[in-house]
Amino acid sequence: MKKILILLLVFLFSFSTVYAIEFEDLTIKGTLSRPNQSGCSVIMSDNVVTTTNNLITIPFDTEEWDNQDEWNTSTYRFTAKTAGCYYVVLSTHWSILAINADYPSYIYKNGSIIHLLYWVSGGGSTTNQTFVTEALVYLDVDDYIEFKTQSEQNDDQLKAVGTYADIVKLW
Amino acid sequence: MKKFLILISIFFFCSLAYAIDVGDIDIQGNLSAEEMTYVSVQMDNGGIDQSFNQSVETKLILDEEIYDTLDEFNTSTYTFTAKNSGYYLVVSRVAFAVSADGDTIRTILVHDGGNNRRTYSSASSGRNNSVVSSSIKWILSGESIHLEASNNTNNALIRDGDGTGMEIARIF
Repeated sequence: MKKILILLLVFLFSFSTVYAIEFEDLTIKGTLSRPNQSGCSVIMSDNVVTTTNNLITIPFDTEEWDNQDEWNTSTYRFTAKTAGCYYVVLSTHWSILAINADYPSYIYKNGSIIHLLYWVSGGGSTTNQTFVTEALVYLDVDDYIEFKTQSEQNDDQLKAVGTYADIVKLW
Repeated sequence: MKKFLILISIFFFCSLAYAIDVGDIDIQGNLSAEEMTYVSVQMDNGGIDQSFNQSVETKLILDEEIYDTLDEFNTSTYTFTAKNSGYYLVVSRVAFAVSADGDTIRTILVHDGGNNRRTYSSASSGRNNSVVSSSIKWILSGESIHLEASNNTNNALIRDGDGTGMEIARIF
């Protein structure tokens, strides 16, 4: 009798786990929810004053969400726990102290540039401007992403509001 | 009865293992997949910028393949041809160098079988100017996409290297 009960428990556990994995987040219409999918959204807590032509790693020290605990708020890196294709968005918001000046943004993977966004301040005035870039990046386990930017011709200020990075693992 | 229960238990353990394996959804609900499209290409062109004549929409020389999981991108024709029907996220960054302020620059994602996507911007002379675009496209098996660019105001150059590239990923 005891063995039968044990086997019955094993059976119920197995079935419930399979059910949870297969059906819990997949509706009858095929809409898939993945509330624990890898990814994060990070921002800066303060403005950053930059000096001319000094490339900085953007200090994203605040997480809005980080589903798999992959963003490090001290090193400002996203380190993948699982391999796959990641969608990455970077927005930088500059004070713009000079027009027709360069404000490039970079996405680094494992310490090397993989994507570069050129952007030039325009509009005939020194109004704040936001520069947005995006990329699809393949990461293996332990690969890491960093975000860098600089003001090439002037001392300037990277604004906390409007500067953010979003990462989500597509698959 | 006892043997029956043992067999039933073994069966469900096997089901559990199968479900985890084929779905690649780990116990925390983090989805991975292995046989999905991911293409990452950029302009090498022998280390030379690509030149454009005014107002001529020209196919970009995306001849350096960094990823192409299902062998769907042709680095001679600079064209992606889908092997599977589905929704694809297409992201591109194109770096222009122009000769005059205010040049109208644009990129065109050309979809053989669907609608094109055009992204416009205005450039500053003496600087590199990026045009970033993205689109989610429904692409049928056998249909193709490629990326073009033009400067409506003057001749132009497109920068080679990390500033000019395109990625394509099938979402589902």
